[in-house]
Amino acid sequence: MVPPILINLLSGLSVRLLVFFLLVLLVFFLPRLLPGDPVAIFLSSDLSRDLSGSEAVELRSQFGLAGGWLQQLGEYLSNLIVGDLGYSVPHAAPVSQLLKTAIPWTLLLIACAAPLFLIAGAAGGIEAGKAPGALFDRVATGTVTVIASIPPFTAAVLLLLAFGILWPVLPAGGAEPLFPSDNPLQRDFDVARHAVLPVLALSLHEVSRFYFLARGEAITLSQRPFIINACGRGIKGWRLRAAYYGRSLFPVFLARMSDSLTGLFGAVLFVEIVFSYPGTGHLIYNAILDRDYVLLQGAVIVMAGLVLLLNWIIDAVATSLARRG
Amino acid sequence: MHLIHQPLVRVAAATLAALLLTLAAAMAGPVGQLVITDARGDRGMLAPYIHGKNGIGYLYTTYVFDSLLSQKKDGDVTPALAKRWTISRNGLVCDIYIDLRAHWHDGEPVTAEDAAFTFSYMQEHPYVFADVRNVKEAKVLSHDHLRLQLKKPDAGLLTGMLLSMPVLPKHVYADIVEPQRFAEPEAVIGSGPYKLADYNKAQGRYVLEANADYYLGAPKFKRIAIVKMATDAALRAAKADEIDIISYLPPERLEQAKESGLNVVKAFSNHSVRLGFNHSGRFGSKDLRHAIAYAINRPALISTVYQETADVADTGFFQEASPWHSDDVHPSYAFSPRKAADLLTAKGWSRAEDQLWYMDGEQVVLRVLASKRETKAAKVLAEQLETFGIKLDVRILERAALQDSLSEGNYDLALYASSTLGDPNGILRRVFGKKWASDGYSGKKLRALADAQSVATSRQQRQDILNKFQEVYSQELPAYAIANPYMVTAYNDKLSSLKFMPGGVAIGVPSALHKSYLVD
Repeated sequence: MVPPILINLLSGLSVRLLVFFLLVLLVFFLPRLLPGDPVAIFLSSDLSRDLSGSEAVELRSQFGLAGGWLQQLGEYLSNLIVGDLGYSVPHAAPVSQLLKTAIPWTLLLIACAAPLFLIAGAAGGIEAGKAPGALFDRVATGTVTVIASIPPFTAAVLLLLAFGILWPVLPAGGAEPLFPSDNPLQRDFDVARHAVLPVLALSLHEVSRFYFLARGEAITLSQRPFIINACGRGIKGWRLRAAYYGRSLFPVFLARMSDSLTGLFGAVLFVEIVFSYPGTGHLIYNAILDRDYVLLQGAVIVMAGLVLLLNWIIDAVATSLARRG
Repeated sequence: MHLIHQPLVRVAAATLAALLLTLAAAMAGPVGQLVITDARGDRGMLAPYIHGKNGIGYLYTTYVFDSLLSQKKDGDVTPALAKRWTISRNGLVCDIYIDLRAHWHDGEPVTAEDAAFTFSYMQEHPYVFADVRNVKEAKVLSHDHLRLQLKKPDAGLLTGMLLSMPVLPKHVYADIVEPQRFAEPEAVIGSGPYKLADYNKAQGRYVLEANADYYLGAPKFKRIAIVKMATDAALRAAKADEIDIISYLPPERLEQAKESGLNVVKAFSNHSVRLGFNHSGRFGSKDLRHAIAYAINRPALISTVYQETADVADTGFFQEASPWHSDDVHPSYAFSPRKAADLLTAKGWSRAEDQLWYMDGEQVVLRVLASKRETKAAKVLAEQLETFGIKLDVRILERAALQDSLSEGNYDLALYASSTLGDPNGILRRVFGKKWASDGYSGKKLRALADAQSVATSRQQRQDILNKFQEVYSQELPAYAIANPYMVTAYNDKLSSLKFMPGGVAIGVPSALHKSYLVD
């Protein structure tokens, strides 16, 4: 008998492949609809000389802009299928190489932020939901409501102002000091210090989602016999919260995680731009300004692929868990 | 008494000792490292074909790659890889003698072969900051002797092509078919005073190391780091002595930099903010251009928008600090609504009772395009013209959209900043060219002068023609120069008396960081 998780995985795959293909088309055509010509922008400095006709044609083909859109698309797709994301002329580097240096930074922020907002959201939510209307609930729910109303980039700017400029205890930008230390331990410490503010900004954005989810669930759970029973048997403290509430929250959290992923990957782009963090956000932002189609396509496709992949796995696990009840 | 004095003496002695120690530390050995901050950071790898296609990317690359000629601090050309040169009487043959003391960063000697190779390589693989299309043949006559045969005489041969073209090592580039994709470590083997030791694209950080046997003198610093840093952070870091130069300090922060203990050098950018006209539309008429000019109050606009960070620009294209600026006084089109109104009335415009201008019974609405940086100027301009009775439709566009709309001719007026620096041949593309920041003008009289100066046979003759050019330009007004913003570089005592290069560095980069300041 096929394990149910495999069935879930397979059924999720086909939908996502279709979504992915549509996305590739979208990210191919949308930038081309923007005003502005990549080659003209590339050479927009008034210190550079004008190109003669044949030189301009040659440069266009280097940009992958020779021929009509359909021809460009065909060429792009056939390269994409063999894993070639193309070459960014403005950066003078293959797109894959640019992404290879940028994506780890983006993932670092996400990987540090995720446990933070998941645990904080769950712990706070359970505490508040256990005794709705009590002092903790009122204070926490009030605070989280305020946080939830701040858009991610505003939160990032506020954090930057507070801890990077007005009270400069943490670095205001970048992922490393000007001159990274040769000592790996010191270097890791510096990287961690630089990640604090961006991670906080990102977590603040997500924590409210999971807080409210946990609180709502906890209120319902408190009425369920197995919790009442447990309380009656004198189980309390850490064990009650983790083993009884926490375990029951797990599938709900997973399910929510799968649809909040897109929001998370979107928020990280803003956060990176505010903190001049060298992740994909910066690459994408500048690629739009420079009309660097090849890089923009590559970055969006890879990021989207990553989101779809994570979302696919989480979904399958969540569905299996939900079925188990 | 004794008891009271002792601690005082101790404190004094300790202070003195500390002072001496700091002094000794400051004086010990050659200055090791220079840290330059750049607000934007990544300018691409510092090799000719792959650096960022802007002035700063080019400037940094000149630290690594020498050209045949260089500049003295007053902007005049001086020998570099070419130790001397002669130009034939007809201006078609240029003999160049290579300085045989020069070596590539990998130790190979620089020869006439390398220079000749660069000319032919750049014919085949265009490098957009050096135009070698006028070279008919580059012939190697001996190890150090190169003869250039030109297609036509070029008054800008020295200050244009030879000054701006980085010489490439033949033994590295000869086999490279696609130099714009050549980003290997060998791509940055130049002959300049500094070698590129490390480049971190993600962090926007460069580390340059002294080229110990540089043929024109010893590099001043063992290491130069160029790092990405926002102005606020840079000012803080300067206070803590972590950085030495803020390459482009926003001029309004000048006092703050002084308070942080930095020296500052302030100069006109000569990157003037100009009001361009759509010459294929109604502004093909000179009188209408004049009318608009008279309807604008430049001093008022500047004091509102720029305060102390810009001054009124010269209307004759070249700006005051340029070596080619004429001493003649050009019309300033001082604010005169009456003159403007007379000119418009003569052109058939009429002002109705609502004080607005009409043409053929229709209210005149002019479309103004402006880049984001010129937003404030565009708003004040619109206020001024609307007070005069001309309605404006102001569109602030991001870079790409602006360039698109400008080249499509979808506008009446346009506000943008563009350079007036570099060899005067630049006027051919900046006034008559097709690119977005060009005036897009085609007046025959002015064109004839621009062409004549490009083939002038002596500097004096060229200057005379350019004086005439500036006079005609200020009368014809292909574009109305509004403001000449200042630029500021802040630096500490590791360097002394920096000056912005008159006329700009090589291709015309406004900068106080010409490489001659980095070599003893």
